[in-house]
Amino acid sequence: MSTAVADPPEGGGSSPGAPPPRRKRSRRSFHLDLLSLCRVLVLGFFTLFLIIPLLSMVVVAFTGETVNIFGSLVDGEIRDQNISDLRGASLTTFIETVGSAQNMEALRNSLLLALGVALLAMVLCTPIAYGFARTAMPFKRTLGVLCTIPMVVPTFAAAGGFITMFGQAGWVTGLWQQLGGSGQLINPYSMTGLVLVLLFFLFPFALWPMVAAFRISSAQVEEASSSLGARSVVTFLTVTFPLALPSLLSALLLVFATTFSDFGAAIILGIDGLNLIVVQAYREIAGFFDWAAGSVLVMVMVVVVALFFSLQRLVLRGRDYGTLSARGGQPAPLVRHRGLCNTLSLFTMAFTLVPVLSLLSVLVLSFATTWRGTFLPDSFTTAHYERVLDRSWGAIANSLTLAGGALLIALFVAATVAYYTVRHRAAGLDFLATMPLIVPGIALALALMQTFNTQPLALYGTALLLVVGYAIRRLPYMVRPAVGAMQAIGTDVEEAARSLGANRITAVMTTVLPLLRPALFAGGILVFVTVLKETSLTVLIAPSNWEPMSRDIFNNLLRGERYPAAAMSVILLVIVISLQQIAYKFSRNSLY
Amino acid sequence: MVSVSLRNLSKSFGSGANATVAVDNVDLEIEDGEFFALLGPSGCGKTTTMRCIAGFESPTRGEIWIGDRFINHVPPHKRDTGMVFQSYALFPHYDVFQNVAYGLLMRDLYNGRIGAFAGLFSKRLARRSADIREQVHKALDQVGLGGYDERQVSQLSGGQQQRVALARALVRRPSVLLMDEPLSNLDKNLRIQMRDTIRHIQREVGITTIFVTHDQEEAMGMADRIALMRDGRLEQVDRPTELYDRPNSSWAARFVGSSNIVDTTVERTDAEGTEVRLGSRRIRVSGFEAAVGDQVRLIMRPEALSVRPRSGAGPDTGNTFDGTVSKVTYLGPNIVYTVDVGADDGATSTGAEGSGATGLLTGTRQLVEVTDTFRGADAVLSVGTEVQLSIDPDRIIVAEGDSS
Ligand SMILES: Nc1ncnc2c1ncn2[C@@H]1O[C@H](COP(=O)(O)OP(=O)(O)OP(=O)(O)O)[C@@H](O)[C@H]1O
Ligand SMILES: [Mg+2]
Repeated sequence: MSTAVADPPEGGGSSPGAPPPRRKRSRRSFHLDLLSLCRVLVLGFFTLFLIIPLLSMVVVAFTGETVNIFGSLVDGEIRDQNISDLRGASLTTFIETVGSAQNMEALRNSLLLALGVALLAMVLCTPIAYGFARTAMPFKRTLGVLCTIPMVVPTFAAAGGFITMFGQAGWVTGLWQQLGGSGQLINPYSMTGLVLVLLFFLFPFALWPMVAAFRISSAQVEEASSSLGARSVVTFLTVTFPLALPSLLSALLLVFATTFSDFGAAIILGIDGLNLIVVQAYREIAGFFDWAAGSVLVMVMVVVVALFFSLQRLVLRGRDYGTLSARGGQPAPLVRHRGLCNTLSLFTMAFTLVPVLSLLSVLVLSFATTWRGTFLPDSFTTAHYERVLDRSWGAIANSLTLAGGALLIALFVAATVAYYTVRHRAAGLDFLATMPLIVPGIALALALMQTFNTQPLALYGTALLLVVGYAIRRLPYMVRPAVGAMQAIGTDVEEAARSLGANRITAVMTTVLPLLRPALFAGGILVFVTVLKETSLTVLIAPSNWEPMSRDIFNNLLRGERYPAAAMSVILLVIVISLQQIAYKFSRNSLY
Repeated sequence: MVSVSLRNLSKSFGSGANATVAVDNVDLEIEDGEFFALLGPSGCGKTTTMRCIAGFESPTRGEIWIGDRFINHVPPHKRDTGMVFQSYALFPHYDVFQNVAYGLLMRDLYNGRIGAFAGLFSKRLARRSADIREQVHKALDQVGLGGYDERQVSQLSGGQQQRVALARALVRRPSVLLMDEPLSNLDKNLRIQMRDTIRHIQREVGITTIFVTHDQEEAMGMADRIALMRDGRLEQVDRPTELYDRPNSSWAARFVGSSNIVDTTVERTDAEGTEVRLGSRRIRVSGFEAAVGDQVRLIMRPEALSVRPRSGAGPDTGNTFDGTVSKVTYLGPNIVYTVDVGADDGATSTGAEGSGATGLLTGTRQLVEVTDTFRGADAVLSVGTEVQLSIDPDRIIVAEGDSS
């Protein structure tokens, strides 16, 4: 037996029987995998800016003292202080805050308002959604645009428009009195006014998911039903509607959650004697700097929204027919019944009349010298624009920069979350990225404010914290479409790239990302647009040297400076609507 | 070029009670330049075996070697394998040129030419290197797609997409080519045409190829050797002719072609061989040793049997048995006679649960199928004809591998 270990022949083919000579086993080499690094970064991001802030908010609610979790990590003294605070935790603050009659009333009002708006939106949107999804109603395209624009209008600007129409000096009020009416047609500074503002500007959040639901709830099943002799009304009631119900409920929930935590309109309208929980929380934080009471109130808000979400999941469990009917089959032929189409079209027009008129009012107001109580302003001027552009040009630039930053973060996080959720079933990441849905803006703002207002991580007052907050808050808008698109991308394309010599990150970047691009693009526009109009985070944590457009408008409205507010609103809307139109041009399957 | 060997390869999915063993202790040596087919019914573990070689699954146990490289822990992109997917997995956002160039760009990138990275994102930059252009065009010419490089992959037919996938895998000159049912999405004519194309290119390039299929005809027609898989295990590894002529088990015989399977008893043994009972006669089986009284299972290919009417029969050539035609199936160039060879003590037949199994026992009848060439309408035997069947003792297969 030879003891010499001969080198195996280069690329040596082995003869059968003689096993190929074995080299030393290559040990699994450790190398930094960039893709895993992305995952770690995203997890760290969520921990730092979502989990820890929410946790410390809970702690504050129970101890009545601010905590400094990051401080406790680096400084023993702070740790001891925090621990002794924790020992003193009690339900006192909690009970006091929740138990106060004022706050209870605020909660009740908020629930009533949110439920009322959500139910109204659902009832009124059902025929409109049916019209868009299943009929050839006239003016569909135009109506489609009209039914999307309200979605991008900040609610405080909407409230401003409403006041211009229905306020004491509003032109509708003037018209009403000329026609012989007394007082106001609608008092915007009332519960009714608030309900109407929110209904007319938040309804698209219910409408478009409903359109999608009606569209997929299966031509085939319906055909089966009609071939069984059911008439179309019966088909609608027994097949179409029940099949769409899960999506309808989700839409309802979305409107509920948005209304429940919206505070722009409520504050601008500043309704006497109408307490809302968001307004209470805002007052505690911005007015009295009472962190503890503020924390308790926003926690209650989170719990309410979370409860409704779990209720929805409970109701819908095992009833998701979506996938069953979504795949395969052609879309149902459009209903062309003349009477039905015309009626639906008229109804939709009437419904969009209010938001359209109030936006037009803002436009007219922005060019008016003075406009009080008459049908048209006294005369027109561009002075407001000159002033706004002169004084607040920076706000426009700030808004775009901040939204751009949030967009970049959201893109990175959403792509990573989508990849890991679908490829590696990382349900945890998906959950984290969806969580912001149940955290109202004011809650996130408060949590971030009080977590990052001391050393060692004193980010409060920097643009970074605002950008991060924006990104977290609007992330779900990007993650959902990204996960959906990711599910449609087979593993084989990525594997093909691997077998062609690409390492993991290169394979993902060259094959998965390009295929995800349409979804990320569509989601990205939505993130950008909603960040531009974001109210709660902006009002509470925007640093004064980073004043964005939305706070400029908000402050002007609060001060009663209607004309510059109108001019800035018009600029904001022009930016937002153009972006949105670009998005629809590029996204392959538009909503309508 | 190199060989591939699998040593006791096992792969199970899941753990505990609900674990699925997809590949069970597979031992294979695939030789340099060989066209090797993995054949077996759906779910038998062919794809899993191949994905273990490509690096997309890591084996639960066992070793994988490509040439003299132990590759269990080598990531897929360093294994130097080319893979053609059943779905082709072409990159939909690239044109044909970029699809084929992808692997070359990766190689350049890996060799430190950072500029190649830009080629992954731009149509124009992908074509910048003359070297890459030349190789891509050569690969496309090879698969008969010269001039198609500007096309978007969605503008290609299934067969063309298939060929792009092939060119893409081959252009890097990998040491092993892996193909997972590459033809199953094509229509029949194209499938047969592509068989020739693939085989032709493979011979030309001389690349070691592993080809997964569940179509026995495809495996028989293309492969140098076939591994027949069943429930994650290797049933038999052999050349196509051997596999057909000498299947180890009745399962293998049924999977590869049709066969008559007859259970019977050994009645006599002598120096020349063994005699078993069949119907009212005894027939001789060669190349097989057994003791009198042993139960054996015989496999007879329908075309190994010959049939003629008993009335006009000449002298008994030996190894014959009698029967009655009970069914005639006309198949164009061939006729299949189903012949009842009569009930018998001892003789039973297994059922026809497998594909191609034709030996039937219905009540007391023992049915055997015989294939005969069509020699004119007059020569066709009618139902009820008394016939004599004969078979060369060498062509009776004893299913030694049957465990049951
Ligand atoms: N990722 C997986 N997780 C769990 N089980 C799997 C997985 N992949 C394959 N299996 C199981 O392993 C077994 C072998 O699967 P494999 O895909 O290798 O079969 P196949 O021979 O390629 O079949 P086909 O001809 O249908 O493609 C099957 O029982 C399958 O259900
Ligand atoms: Mg398979």
